[in-house]
Amino acid sequence: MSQSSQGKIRLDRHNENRHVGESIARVDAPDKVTGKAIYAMDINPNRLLHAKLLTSPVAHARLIKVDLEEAEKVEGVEVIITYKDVPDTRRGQFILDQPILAAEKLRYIGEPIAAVAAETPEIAEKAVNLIKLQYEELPAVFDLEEAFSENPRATVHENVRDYQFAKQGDPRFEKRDHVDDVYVNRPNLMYTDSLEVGDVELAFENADCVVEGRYEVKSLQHCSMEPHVAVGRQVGSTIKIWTSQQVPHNIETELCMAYPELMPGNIEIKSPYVGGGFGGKITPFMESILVGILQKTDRPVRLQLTRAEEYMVGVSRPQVIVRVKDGVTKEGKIIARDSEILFNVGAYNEQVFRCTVSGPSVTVGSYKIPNVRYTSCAVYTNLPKYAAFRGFGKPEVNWAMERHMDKIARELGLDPVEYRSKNLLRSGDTNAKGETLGKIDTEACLRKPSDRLRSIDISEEYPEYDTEEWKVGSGIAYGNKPVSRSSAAATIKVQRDMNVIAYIGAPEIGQGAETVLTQIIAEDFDIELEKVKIIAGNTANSPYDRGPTGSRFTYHTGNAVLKAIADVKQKIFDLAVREFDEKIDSSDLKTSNGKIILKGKEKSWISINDLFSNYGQMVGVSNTMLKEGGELIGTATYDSRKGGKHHAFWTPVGQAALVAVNQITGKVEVLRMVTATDVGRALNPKNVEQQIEGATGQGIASALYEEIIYEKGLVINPNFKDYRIPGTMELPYESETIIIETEDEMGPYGARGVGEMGMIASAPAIGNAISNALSIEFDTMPITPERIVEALESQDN
Amino acid sequence: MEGIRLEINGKGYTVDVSPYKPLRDVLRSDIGLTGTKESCDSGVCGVCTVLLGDKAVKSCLIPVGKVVGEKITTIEGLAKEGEFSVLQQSFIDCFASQCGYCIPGFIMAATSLLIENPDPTVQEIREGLSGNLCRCTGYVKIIDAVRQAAGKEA
Repeated sequence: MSQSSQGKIRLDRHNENRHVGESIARVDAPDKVTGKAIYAMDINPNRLLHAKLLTSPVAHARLIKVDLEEAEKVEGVEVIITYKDVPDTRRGQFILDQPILAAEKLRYIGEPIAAVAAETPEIAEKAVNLIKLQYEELPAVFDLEEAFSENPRATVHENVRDYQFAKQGDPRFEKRDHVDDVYVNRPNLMYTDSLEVGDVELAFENADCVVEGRYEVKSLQHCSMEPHVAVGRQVGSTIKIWTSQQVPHNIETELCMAYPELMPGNIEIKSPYVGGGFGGKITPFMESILVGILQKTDRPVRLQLTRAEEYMVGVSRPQVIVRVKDGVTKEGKIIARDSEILFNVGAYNEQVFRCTVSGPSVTVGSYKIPNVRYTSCAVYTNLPKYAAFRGFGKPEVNWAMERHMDKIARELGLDPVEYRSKNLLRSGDTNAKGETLGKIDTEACLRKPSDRLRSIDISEEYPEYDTEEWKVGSGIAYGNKPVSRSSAAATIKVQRDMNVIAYIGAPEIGQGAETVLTQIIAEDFDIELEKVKIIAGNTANSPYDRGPTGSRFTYHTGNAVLKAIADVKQKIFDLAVREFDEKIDSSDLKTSNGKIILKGKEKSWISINDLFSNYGQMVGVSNTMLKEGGELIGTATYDSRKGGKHHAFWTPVGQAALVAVNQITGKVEVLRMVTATDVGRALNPKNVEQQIEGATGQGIASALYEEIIYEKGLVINPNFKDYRIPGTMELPYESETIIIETEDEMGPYGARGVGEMGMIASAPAIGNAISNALSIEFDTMPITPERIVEALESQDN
Repeated sequence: MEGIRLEINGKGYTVDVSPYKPLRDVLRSDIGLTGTKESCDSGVCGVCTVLLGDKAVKSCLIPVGKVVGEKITTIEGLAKEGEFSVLQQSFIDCFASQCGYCIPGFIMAATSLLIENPDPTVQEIREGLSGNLCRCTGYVKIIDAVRQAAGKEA
């Protein structure tokens, strides 16, 4: 079926949907409320070995010797591996820089050097402590701006310009130089991505007002409630791994690159229910070590990070520094924007490459700016590794852009909503990158949250904050978040009685994937929801999926499912025509509730079971076997990359925050958040609310609470006591979602992706609200009580 | 070694482990009740919450030797004869779970909260659940679920 005809069918059906658009209960909820849901953490096979990592105690050193002699003597130790036991390969997303285990150099505190598998975690730990390291310490670089300079005190990777690029086939990444020429003398620069449109310098000269700013976002941790864990076993030549990772096909692909002797058929990655990911569970930084252990034992092995290791061995959201300069006319039109964005990679590239490339899209994607320039830089430091966190760099960059918008509005004496509206990119407009926006209601997303806040009588609703001590303020922020093009595939099997199984590559990580796909499948076959079974997240039986990342899943995998259904329906109808007495064509048929019906003649139908062999009377006849042999299987790929260089779609979001700030303690109470986003079509409105409320909560956490603190490269708050993620007392119960539905022309049933949207503008909305309350500008987040008190004190002085 | 006798979800178990082993690890590894989760290892996150009698406790902090003779209830013990408990049903109805990893702990804490205070205000629910962390939901729908279970409109 062509994509355009899919769109047409959907529009015809809009008002007669039976399942799509309804808030049906999540299909995973019964297992999750009873404790029956199985996560990788719960996999506990017999004869299990427990693995522990020896990690680098220093931030930068030349590794001289790893002495295993004492460790090997410990009773109960089964396997110890170092770099000598694994292939000398490099892995990473796009830029391949990372050895499986440290070989010549140690580059951050927490870098894995050796792994011990033993009878108990305690024995493994004991042996790890007996491994003797010899190394020569080197100067280390931790400060992002120093690392970016031409003369940093340390070079993290001496031969970065020689590192290979992974061939990923994404047209945006055709560029094969690591850095632009002007930056070539910066030794820690891993990669730059830049854009120049129009004449920025001339536009600044013509502007009535030029405003510059420097903004910073500190690093934070994903803090998935299920820590990283992988349990694997080698069976014959096959390695099977159950993992908490969110993109099993990516794990498989990267492992085959790290271990060139492994063929895809030799490795099976299964992600059962995943206990949260948020971007922190995409790359095989644990599985690549686990494979090395599994190759040396026939026993199953578990490698699990402790909560502290999550912060040091695992990945976190990068520190980002943004310098931005906007040139504006006195009427409030932005005519030029120039920005330089520094992303902290940490010591190795897990995914910051991707953040560097996609993060700057929010500098050009929200507003109509004719002259734009940006340079986005990925910079190595001797810090633990960073990765995407719900937004691939966009929430970080949008913190800067939307704080800057508010400052300029104040300078021009314009209302922050009106200033944004004057410059807003609307449906049909073309942005500075040359992308024309499809049907989306950006204006409604911008205006509705602040309209809602204005309708609230603050002194009546929140009298307790009407004191000298507290100051109440409100703020808004906006963002238009693009979703990259990618591919997904789906396989659909139809069984007797019209029971449908869908094989999907992406796991259920909490986003509601199984539920919305169940709705789409039940809708398209016109059957009860209970007839649909989703088998997800297993590379051994599922076709490729780029995974639940970047708000892409519902759109891409939903479309793949629709195409696979069309494929299997064609097979059903081709077989069914023979069962009818009259001469008909397969295009005359439709299916509903397990019947195959002649269109326009509702009484002329056969049962799906008429196509199957005589079930139950012969041993060896399967539930799925057709009369003429074979099965009813449809499979298809939806590949939006065929649409070209630009993004698959954009989802706009506006957020408003009402806050109270205590002028003595610096405490901030978020009284209310309102989010408006144009989701295309809400396939399951309550599920959409879940995504918005959750992402908004994380945005609030990033704005006010969370910051990893390093001391000379060591994380000093790697636990939930010292790194406090907000609880029920901190996050607001009043978090409202306004769902706007302008159907997407290509999305399944008109849907767009929505997973990251609550994260895009919530932090700057809070930053703007605090500035509104105190008349002090905060350019660094999180805006902790300490930073507020400090600012209030320096204002008094 | 005699073994430690435990009463969990109305059934008797004898386990041959150190009395200092955390109850959480006994439940998960020795008895196979994996609905009780592990996450922070320091008694902060609440994913390992179980009931001792009517009281919610963090089972990662409790040595198994201390709970001999107590009635222990885990998430697996709440549904009776295949019927969800009122809270389990309200967590489904209100869309309170996403990844679901923290949800058993929240339901156990909320079960204890509603035994102690059957008619809590939103503020009392927030305070009562402040020992449990969730990374997915922002808590709005978890609070809705407890309100619904308490007979209030969610």
